[in-house]
Amino acid sequence: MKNLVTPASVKGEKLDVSTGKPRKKSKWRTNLSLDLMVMPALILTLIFAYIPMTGLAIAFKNYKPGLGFNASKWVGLDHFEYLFSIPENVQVIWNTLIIAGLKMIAGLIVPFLFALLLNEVRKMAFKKMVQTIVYMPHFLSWVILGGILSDLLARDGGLINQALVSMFGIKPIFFLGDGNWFRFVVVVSDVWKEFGFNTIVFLASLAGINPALYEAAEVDGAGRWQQTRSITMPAMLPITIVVGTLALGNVLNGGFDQIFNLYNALVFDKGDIIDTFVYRLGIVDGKFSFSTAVGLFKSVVSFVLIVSAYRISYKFANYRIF
Amino acid sequence: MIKKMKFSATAVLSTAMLAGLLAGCGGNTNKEKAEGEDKPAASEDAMYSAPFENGKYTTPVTLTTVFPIGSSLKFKNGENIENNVHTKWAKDTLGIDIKYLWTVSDQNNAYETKLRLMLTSGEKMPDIISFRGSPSLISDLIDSGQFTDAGELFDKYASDIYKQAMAEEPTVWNPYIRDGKRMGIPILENAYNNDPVMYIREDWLKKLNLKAPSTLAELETVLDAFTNQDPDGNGKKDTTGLSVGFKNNLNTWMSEAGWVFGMFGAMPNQWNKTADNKLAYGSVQPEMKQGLATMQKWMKEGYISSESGLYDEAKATEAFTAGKSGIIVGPYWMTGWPLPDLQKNVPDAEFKAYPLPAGPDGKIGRHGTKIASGAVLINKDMEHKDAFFVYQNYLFDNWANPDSTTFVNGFAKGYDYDIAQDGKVLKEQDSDKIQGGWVDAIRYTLTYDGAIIPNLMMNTLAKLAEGAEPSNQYEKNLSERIPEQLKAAKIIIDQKDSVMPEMFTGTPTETQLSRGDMLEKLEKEILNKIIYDKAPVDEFDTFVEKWTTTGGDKVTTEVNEWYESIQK
Repeated sequence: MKNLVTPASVKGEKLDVSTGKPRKKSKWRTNLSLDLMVMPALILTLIFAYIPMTGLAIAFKNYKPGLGFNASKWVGLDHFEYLFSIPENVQVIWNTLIIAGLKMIAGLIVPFLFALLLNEVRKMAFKKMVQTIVYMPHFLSWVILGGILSDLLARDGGLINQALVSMFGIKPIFFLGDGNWFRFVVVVSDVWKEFGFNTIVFLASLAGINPALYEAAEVDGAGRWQQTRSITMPAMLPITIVVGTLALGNVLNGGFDQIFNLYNALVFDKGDIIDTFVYRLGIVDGKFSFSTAVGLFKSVVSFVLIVSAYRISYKFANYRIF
Repeated sequence: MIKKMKFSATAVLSTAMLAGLLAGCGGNTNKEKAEGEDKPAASEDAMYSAPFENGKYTTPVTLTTVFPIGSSLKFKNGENIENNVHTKWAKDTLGIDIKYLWTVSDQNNAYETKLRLMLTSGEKMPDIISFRGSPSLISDLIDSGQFTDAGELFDKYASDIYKQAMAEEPTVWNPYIRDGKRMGIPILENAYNNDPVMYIREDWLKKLNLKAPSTLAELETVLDAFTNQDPDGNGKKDTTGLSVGFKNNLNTWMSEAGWVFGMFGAMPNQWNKTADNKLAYGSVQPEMKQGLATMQKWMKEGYISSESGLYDEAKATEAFTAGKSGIIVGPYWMTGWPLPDLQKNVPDAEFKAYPLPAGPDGKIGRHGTKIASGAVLINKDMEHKDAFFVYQNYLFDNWANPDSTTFVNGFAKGYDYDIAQDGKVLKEQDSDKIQGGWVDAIRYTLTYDGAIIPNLMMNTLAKLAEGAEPSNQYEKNLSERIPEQLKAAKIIIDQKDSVMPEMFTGTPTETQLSRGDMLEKLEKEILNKIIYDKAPVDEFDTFVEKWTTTGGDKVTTEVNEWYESIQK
């Protein structure tokens, strides 16, 4: 774990080491080799991320594959108007915000607490084992999990309902057929699947805390809880902000594969998200322009959120990624 | 055959295609003239575009295409789709060299996606594209203007048997007609192939001393007994009467529930003909209400699983094959897959095919089968347009034609059949005795199933089920099928008057495209809620009103315009 990138090196301390060498080169020559190393990545990004963006123009056109890109008619903001003029579409946006928002919050708090708890474990082998186990679901695909979950959560005969009924004597819960429960299942299962990854990130930042601080605190008579509150938590703040900022970009990502494999007509009103909506329109119905418009709307919102979150963390936590 | 000028509405809807077609030409007449000039002198002095003798091109001509490799497609002897017993056969027997521009393993609609990409990136199209699936893609392909009037070529080159097969149901051309031209050649399928029959656990019926239901009331008695009287005898109440899965649709291809509505004269998820010869969307017709009330009741009583709305067609069959459900409705081929799994899971289980029961007024209704599942498009720049017909004619004249003896045992020895040393013909069930295993080589063909004469198979199966002696090799082959399959086929044919066919076979209309997803979502949501008793049956009226006002009435008008246009 100690080899993992710590916040210090993210901040660029390593760079300082390389430029701080005794023999002074001109700045240009030092940077040249670095620039060259970055070049392939830049070119790839340009080709695969920026040039295709010109295709976004079809969001403002009535694109017909047969006619091609140039011959299709411009329609201005028609597709955007259509998106917001229909209440069902707006509902889809709300669903996305709610599901993604809940996932984001839970996906930040759970690994944070879990890392704190795991950090207190003394036995190294046990700690490593737990860490690996919680990371494992991350590698399962939602196609498989979707099947497993629908069996586990079945109203009659599902394991979870059997357990609940025998323990609490309640009526079986229709987890996947009731809108609110559906959202609950989606958020919990997503957190369960993904929290291992962020736990590792948090553990890495914990490993980077200077032990001298704890020693000093102990000398001053601080207990375990006080140490956690005054040393560990503040030290984890920067990485928490990074993780949170990155997650904000996903605020309109409800998680396509998960929802697609779990949803059904009974939960359309609470569970249909932008991605599944775009899938049905764009891939199933072949409405390229409209689905591009929705995608563009999504990207713009995410972009604005990331930029503002970054600004805020820069201003209040004095944190910078670059 | 349908006359060319009768498709004004379709023509209006395909203006985009027209624009593409007419690009560079002054007008329609010029275009036709130009097409006439395209053809070399060969078309006048000879039928074929290249030297042709004894049913074969003397020097092989090339035909380029693309191909989806489905997961069920198997190869042996190190072959692949580009080079196998089928491509060798085409070259040796017909002098046609089939070249694949690309192939794709067809998962998650990869073939469709790749075709779309090809279309959007303006890549050069292959000589022929055969595609089964989304009509909107075929429509987009046609609209690209890169394909020729296939109907004209069909009239010129197709053999008599091929033409007769196509004439069994002239409406198969409808989806591909643009401005009076038949732009795609329909890929024919077996008629009645997906029409449903009812499978019942015969051992359960006997055990509970019940008789097979022929009416709704009798059916409910059986359902109740299957649900509440512990038919599997394990002392637990863990069985359901009926397996249905309507995550996708009520009226669907397996584990379906369309027939429940058919008992009341409705058929959801398709366009039905009304008494005044108009088309109406089944899911909003008033007869639906009684069907919904029935489903709601069955859900409440536990006759159907409360997960039914979450299950797709395949998932819903699991309860039946696991021996936890007593009735399932689906096509005759379910006797081959997946129903044999039942005996694997419950060794002494026994199922039997029965006719669909009648509703309170004696009505029986089931969905039909589309006789064409897709189309072959022919590139307007294809050099030897006749080659496709030489290929397909041969298959129709020899593979599909029951009187031919060319493919007596199958397509290729050592692939889909073999002959043992004692002269016995080995087939699929003797797969382990065929070296390298049984491989269904006919699936390598350009239109995926060789060639099919629509009405032939099911009628022959029914005839054989009645005890007729097979009179030729084709009938003999069919008679070797699972006996239960023959019985199911006979029931399908016996009940063929109950078919409620999908009447709308045109390309999706303008409003269907712009509002389709919204209307479908609305429909699924409310129908599910009613069945789950989360909304009263009367909510249906509110739904119909909402459906009508948010675009449904426009769709209905457009569909009826199309219907009128094909009736002229």
